[in-house]
Amino acid sequence: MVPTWMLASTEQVQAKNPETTIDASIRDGVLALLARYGRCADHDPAGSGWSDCFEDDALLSSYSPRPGRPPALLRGCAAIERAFASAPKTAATTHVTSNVLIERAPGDPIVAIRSAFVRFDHLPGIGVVVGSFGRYSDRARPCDDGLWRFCEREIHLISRRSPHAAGMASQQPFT
Amino acid sequence: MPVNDPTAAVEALAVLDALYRAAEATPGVELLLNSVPVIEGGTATVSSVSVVLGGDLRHPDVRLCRRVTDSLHRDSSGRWCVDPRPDGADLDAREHRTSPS
Repeated sequence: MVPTWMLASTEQVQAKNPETTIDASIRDGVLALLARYGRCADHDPAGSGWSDCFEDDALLSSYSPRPGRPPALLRGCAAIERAFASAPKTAATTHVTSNVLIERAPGDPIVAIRSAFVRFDHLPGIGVVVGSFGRYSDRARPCDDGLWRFCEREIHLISRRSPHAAGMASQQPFT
Repeated sequence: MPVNDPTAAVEALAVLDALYRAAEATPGVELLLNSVPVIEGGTATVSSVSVVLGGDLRHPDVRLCRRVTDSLHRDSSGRWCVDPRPDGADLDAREHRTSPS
């Protein structure tokens, strides 16, 4: 296992690639977007809506942990919202994102974001367990209202608790 | 309407990060994730997901996972100071166990 102090920070990576420098306001906006998505995926009533996370024609692709399977695709913010709202759910979840790396080509308003995620499931009578984990690969841009939104989100699941596991919290097909 | 100051936000997050790194000496480790700071003048409010990990290396467990809000203020020299969590949650986070292991 690599000690955390050996991992290069976004700032260190960008220092070696000055053409992709990300200033604090971009990082601030992107991190807020990642947090908003987590609240939406958790059905947090204090969170904002999906339309604050995705552009109207955004594309969400979810890749199974099993190699070779085609991704599940959702086109458009409304379809993404419907899919999450209709997923059977029996317990609360908490999505967290870390290891965020932001890159941008010179002059391009769209940034590429790579990150890692964990979904915690709060299982009644059992406690908090890791429900799934994986990586996100995103493209996002700043919108006229000041919010950043995803143009694309790829979810690459590395592992997910079996739907048959005791107390399975969620049947969410995406996370 | 709060005016967010990205530079101040980075400073405030660094102070919070340092506080919870210092807490790693305790039996549980608290990670603050999905942090969103809002800066308004000399105060900062940071909403996060707090994950407390414990147990041994072979079988770590998630002792707590919840949303928290931390408040910070600038002292007379301009440094960020973290206000105690109102409910004593900083202690509770390391003592409360939700996992059977």
